[in-house]
Amino acid sequence: MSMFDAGKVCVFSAVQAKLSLNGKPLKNVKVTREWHWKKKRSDETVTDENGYFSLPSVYERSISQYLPAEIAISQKMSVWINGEETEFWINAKDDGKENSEYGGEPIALSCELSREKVLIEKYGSLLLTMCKKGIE
Amino acid sequence: MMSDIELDPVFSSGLARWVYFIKDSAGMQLIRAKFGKSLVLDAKNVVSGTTGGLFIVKKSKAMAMLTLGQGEYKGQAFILYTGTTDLYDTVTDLNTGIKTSHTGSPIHQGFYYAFDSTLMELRQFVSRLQAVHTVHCVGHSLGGALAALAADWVRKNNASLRVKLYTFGSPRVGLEMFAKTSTTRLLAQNIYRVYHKTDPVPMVPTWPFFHAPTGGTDYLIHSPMGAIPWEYHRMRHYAESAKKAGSWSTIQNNRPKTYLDSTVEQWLESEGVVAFTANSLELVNAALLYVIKKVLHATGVVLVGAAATTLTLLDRLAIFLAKAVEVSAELSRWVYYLVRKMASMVGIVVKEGTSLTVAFIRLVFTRLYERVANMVRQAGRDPQ
Repeated sequence: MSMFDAGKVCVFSAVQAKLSLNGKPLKNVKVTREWHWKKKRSDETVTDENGYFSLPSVYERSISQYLPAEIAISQKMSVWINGEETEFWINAKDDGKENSEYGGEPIALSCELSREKVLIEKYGSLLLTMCKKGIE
Repeated sequence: MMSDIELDPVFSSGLARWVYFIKDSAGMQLIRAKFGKSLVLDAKNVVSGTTGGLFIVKKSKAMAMLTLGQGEYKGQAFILYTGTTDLYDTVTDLNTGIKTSHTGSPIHQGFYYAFDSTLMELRQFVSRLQAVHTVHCVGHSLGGALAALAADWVRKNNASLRVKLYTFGSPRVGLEMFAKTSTTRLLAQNIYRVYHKTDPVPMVPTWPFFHAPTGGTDYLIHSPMGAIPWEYHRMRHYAESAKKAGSWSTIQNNRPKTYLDSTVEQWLESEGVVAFTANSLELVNAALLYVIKKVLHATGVVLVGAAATTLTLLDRLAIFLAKAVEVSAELSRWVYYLVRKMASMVGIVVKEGTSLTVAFIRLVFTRLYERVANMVRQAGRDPQ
């Protein structure tokens, strides 16, 4: 473990997901991903013809990495339809490891946006989403 | 017992863990989803400020959520604290100063100012409490220190309220007088001090700082050494440990016995290199207290006067011990042994005849304190 890698924190693990609304793929819509550790940051992409999108893992360092400050990263994914934001995935990440969001497995989701978001705690965090694990 | 309302380890550790996420609206949504039935959290997206019974306090050195219980938790109030990165900078500063707390006892000045920055809201919150019989103060790490100050303050100003304090991996907040008066005020059975054996933060600040409760029980969890040292300071490990334990009784310990004077004496007199470990730090702490007690007994000199001066705690300690050397050969012998042990931990060899000047004692203290502070800073490194 080098000194430098020690402070590297995975603030959002890679995401692969398929979005649908009322059973139909949400194609060519903007998806934003926000995370907030020291600062609020975001990235975005657009779904393909079949409603799929993917985003890479994001790492950050902090000048305060050598302090025993707790890692507390809030994470959010939204889809934008006609300029309106719908949040479909919100999570509290307090583990700096990649893929801690789903207990070590990569984030692969199927999200039907007409469903209600539910609180999921079985992966060790607070996760509020209507997405199901696994891509159909 | 109906009258004694205590939060269980899982619920209290959950509060200490998730309060870190009051930082933004996404985090507040999660907190609302998790605790909406138990706490008054308002339907609206409150991120900062006050609505109804809810206070979200965000200052540079501290954040806090002050709110009321509902449903099963009706009649109870919740004071939840977290420390911020700014506060970590302050407490690992070598030039620790002492300040008289809002309740009149000497405490670490970093905690004093962080707590003070939240006092206006705390005062408002407490003054509006109606039909509340129990106040729970909860925090992890530096947030634990702030929760301890809040508990002490609330109890002092509201004798009719039952105040309970739950801390996870909290550092020491104040000197012995604070630990004692706070324990008397809250009563030991209302203090749930939870710490992992391999968490370094509860070991600091070192020396005349003490933990409350000063007697009775605390809640020690035997934790392994992590892949990186000090991994077990993290709140999520405390939450896991609390879940595993299930109830307070399974992790309740009689306070580990303090070392017998004879053990300390033997250790001090023994020669040989001292490794820098949690156990030797505990021993050196016990030895320091032993020697201070001896010097106090012989000289009656007050170590940390109430009057604030520009001298830091380390300065005063060094001056105090250097003075003791001049008092008698007997005291000089013990101070020599102590300094030798401490020096050994940081790789300085003290030979017979080394002059124990203030400057030298201070150097040894500073080096050792630096090592401890470094150890604590390492707790922030992530296990990649």
